[in-house]
Amino acid sequence: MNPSATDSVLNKSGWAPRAGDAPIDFDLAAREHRPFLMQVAVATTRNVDDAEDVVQEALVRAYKGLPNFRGDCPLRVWLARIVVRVSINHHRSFVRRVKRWVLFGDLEREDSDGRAAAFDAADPAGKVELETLLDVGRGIEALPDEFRVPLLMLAVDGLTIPEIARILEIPEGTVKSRIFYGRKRLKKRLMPSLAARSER
Amino acid sequence: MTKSCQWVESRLESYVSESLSPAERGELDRHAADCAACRSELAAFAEVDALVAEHFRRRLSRASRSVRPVVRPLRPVGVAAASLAAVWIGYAALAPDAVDPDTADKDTAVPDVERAKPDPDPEPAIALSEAPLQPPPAPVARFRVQDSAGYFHSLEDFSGSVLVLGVVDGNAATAAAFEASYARYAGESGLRFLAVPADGVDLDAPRFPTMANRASTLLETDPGEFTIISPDGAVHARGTLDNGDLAAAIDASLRLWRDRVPVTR
Repeated sequence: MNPSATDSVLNKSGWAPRAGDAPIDFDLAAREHRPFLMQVAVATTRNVDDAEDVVQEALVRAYKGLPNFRGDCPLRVWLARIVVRVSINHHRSFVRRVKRWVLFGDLEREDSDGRAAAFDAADPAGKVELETLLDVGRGIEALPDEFRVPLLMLAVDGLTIPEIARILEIPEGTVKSRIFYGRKRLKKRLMPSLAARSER
Repeated sequence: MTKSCQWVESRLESYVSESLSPAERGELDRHAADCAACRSELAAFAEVDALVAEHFRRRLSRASRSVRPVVRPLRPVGVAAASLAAVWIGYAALAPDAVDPDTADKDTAVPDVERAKPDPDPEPAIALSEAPLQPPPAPVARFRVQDSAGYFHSLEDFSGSVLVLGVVDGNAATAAAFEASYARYAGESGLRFLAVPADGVDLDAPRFPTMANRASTLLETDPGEFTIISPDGAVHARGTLDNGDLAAAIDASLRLWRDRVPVTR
């Protein structure tokens, strides 16, 4: 079978128009990329309830900064970079403003037997124990941003290591190392839970 | 810890990030097939990744639930109407579909994320939309696999090499054919092999590189078939695994690309 243009699966979509091309329909692009940007925001924000606000603010900034978009990367990468910056800054400014507050969404309650339980329901599939998931959440939150963000970004649908590197503007090797060490630290922390699960 | 285990440990990061040469990768796979400790180490990484993915899924679910409802303004009355309209503008931006395209100002270049006109016939009181805002379903990926350490890979990760992709079904002859080709051609530089078990198929200690399909169409490769992908990501050949087509297709691919594929040592 001969290769054809339609067979190529490496062609990127969403590249910025060059001189002479049609201008970007930002409204359309914002709608198209919003679900992806939402996932990026969920991966980067410390407080997941801020994700929607982060995406919104990033899109407003992107629209204002559109004339500065040089088209040297796919539009979705450029938008994701803005989401990451807004997300990190959002957390820092929020922490500065309300650092003595406690967010109800972050609270855990204790069951009658003293075991910690989150307000969220357990996973519907029931594959992972709530205690383990809480451990995972705590372990991930304990990671510094440079390890936490690439690790979670790897879970974003369709996001590859080269693309994560472009979004975070760091070399691919650095992304791989940070993901590896993030997971290594997490593995060490979760070792008792993992051992208990494997025994079952 | 044996010397081989130390060797594996020193290459673990490269292995899980797909940076090992095919020869070293094959060597590590062979060691892991015989070494329970190293296999357990790799499995622990895979389990951590699965837990991270589950944690992410829950966060995403919670973020989707916490999307603000659409709030519509009271019927405009003077200043109060203006301030309510401002609130509405903020919330309407969260729900682009809430803006009626027929009433939207088409002459201005400002997108919906910044612009929202008050509804010409607003509800008489604040009303919450009943339907939650949900992102559209993600399209099914053509190629998305996960390695034993839990890393996800797209076809981009194999660019620059000729990739021999086989979807191994429950038929033993299929796996045997792929294993024979891997044993024969694994030393060729610029040639990579990847077997993906079909749904429900559990390979017992395979002697070739495998990864799990993660809800992708695998370039429309059916169980029991192979696809050869060129270094630039185009589908070059397809065929059935157990009838001898694979070796002929690999030979043809090597003749075509041997001089163009960079040697990676």
